[in-house]
Amino acid sequence: MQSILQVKDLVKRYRAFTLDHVSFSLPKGSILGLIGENGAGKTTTLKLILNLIRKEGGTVSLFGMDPVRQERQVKEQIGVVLDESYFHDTLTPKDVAAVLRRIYPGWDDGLFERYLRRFSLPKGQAIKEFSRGMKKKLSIASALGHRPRLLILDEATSGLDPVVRSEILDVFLDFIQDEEHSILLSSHITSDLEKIADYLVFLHKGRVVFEEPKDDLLQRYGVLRCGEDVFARLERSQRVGYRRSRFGYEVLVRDRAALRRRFPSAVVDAATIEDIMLFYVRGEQQ
Amino acid sequence: MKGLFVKDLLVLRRYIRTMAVFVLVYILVFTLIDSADVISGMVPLVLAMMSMAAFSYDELAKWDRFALTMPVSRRQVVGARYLVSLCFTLLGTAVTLVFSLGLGYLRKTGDPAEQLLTAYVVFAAALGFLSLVLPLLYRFGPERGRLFMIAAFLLPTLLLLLFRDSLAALFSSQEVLEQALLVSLPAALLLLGLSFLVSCRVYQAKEF
Repeated sequence: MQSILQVKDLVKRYRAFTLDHVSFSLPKGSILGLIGENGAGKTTTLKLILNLIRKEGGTVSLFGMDPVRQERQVKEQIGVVLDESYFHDTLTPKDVAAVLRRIYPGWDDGLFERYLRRFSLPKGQAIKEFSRGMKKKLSIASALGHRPRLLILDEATSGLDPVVRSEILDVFLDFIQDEEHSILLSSHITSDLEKIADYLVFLHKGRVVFEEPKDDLLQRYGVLRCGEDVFARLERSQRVGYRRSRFGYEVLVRDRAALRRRFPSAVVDAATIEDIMLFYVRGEQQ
Repeated sequence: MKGLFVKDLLVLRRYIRTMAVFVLVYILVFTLIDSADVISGMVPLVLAMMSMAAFSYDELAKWDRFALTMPVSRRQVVGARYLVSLCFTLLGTAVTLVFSLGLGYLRKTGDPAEQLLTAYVVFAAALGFLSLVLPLLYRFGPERGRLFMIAAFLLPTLLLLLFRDSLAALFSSQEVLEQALLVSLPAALLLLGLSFLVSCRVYQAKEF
C-alpha cells in the first residue's frame, strides 16, 4: 500500500531523553495512532515530522516530499491540531478564518463555517469565552478548513469529556471516508485509539516497541490469569510482561490462541490496548 | 505573510484603540501646555513599541509553534513582524506630522520644512530603535527582552551625553548637521535590514 508518511530512524537527543531511531509509516487512507506514556516521545516525533525541531538523524518523507526542503508544498496539505490552544484569546472564529484564508491557498470558508455549525461554535465570540472543548473543536475546524490530505493531531481528545470526544472522533471518521485522506494522531487515551485507529505505533522511552495493525494486536494479545504452576511452565518468548498479586499472576501473552492450545484450562482474556501498554511499561519483564 | 500581518493587526486591535485614545489625550494635554514638540518625538516611538506587545501576545498564546505548522517559512514569520513594526512607526510619524503641520498652520507658527525634518529624523530614530530591539526580542523573548529594550533606550542616550561636547563640535557647522540628519533615514533603513537578517538567523535556530 502506498504510504503518505514515512519516518525512518528519527533521532533527537535532549539532556534527559533521546528519541532513538524511530521508524514507522502511515499508509494512505488510514489512521495511525501513536501511543505511549507521557514523555515516551510522541510529541517529539510529531514535532520532528512538522520540522518544528531539528532532527539529529533519520529521514521524514511526506507525500513523497522532504518536509524540510519542500516545506511549503508539504504544509499546505497538512492540518495540525496541537495539544494546547494556540489562537489568541481575543480573536474570534471569524478572525481565525480571516487569517487562515490568507495563508492556505486551499482555504474553504464554506467548509469552515459548516464545521463551526456542526460544533455549535459562535462565529463572533472571543475565544477566551470558549470552554476547553470548544477551543479544541475550533482547532479541529481550522485544521480541516483548507481541505488537508493529512491530519496530524497531538492529544486531540485529551482533557475532554466523553461526549465531546465521541463528537470529535466522528469528525475524524468522516474525514477518513475519502481514501486520499489519512490521520496521524498521538494519544494516551487508548480507548479512543481502539475505536478509530487502523495501525498502532507504541513508543516507550523514545523507542518503537511495536508497529502493528490494531486488529492484529487485539486478536493476538491476551491476558492470562494463572497460578505459579502454569506461570513456571510459560516460555519467556510467549509473555511480554506480568504482574504478581496475592491471587496469582496476570501475564500479557503475545499469542493467546497458541496459549489456549497449550493450556486448555487456563483463563485467557482478550487484551485491550491499555493492557498491552501497561504490561509493556509497568509489568515485570523477567 | 499577509495572513500573519492580518493576525498581528487583529490581535493588536484593542491595544491600538487604547493607544489611539492615549495619543489623543497626550496631544490635547501637550497642545494646552504649548509643547507640541514633545509629541512629535514620542508618538512614533510609542507606536514602534506596539509591535513589542505582539511578541507578548504570541508567547501567551504559544502562537509560533502553530504558525510554523502552516505553509509559511520562518523568514516570513519574522518578515511579517518587521513589516507590522514598520507600518506602525510610519503611522505614528504620519499622525504627528499631520498634527504638528495642522497646529502650526492654525497658530501661524512653526516652519513646515522644519517640522518635516523633525518627522524625518524621529522616524529614523524609531527605526533605529526597532532595529536594536527586535533581534533582542527574538533572542530573549518578550520577558527578558523588555529589559534589553530599556538598555536600547539608555545606551544611545548615555553615548549622547558622554560625547556631547565632541558631538557639538562635530555638528557645529550647519552643513554637517544637515547632512547627518539627511543620512539618518537611509542609515536606519540599512540598520533595519541588517537587524532583519540577524532576527531571521536567531529565529531559524529556535525550536518550538
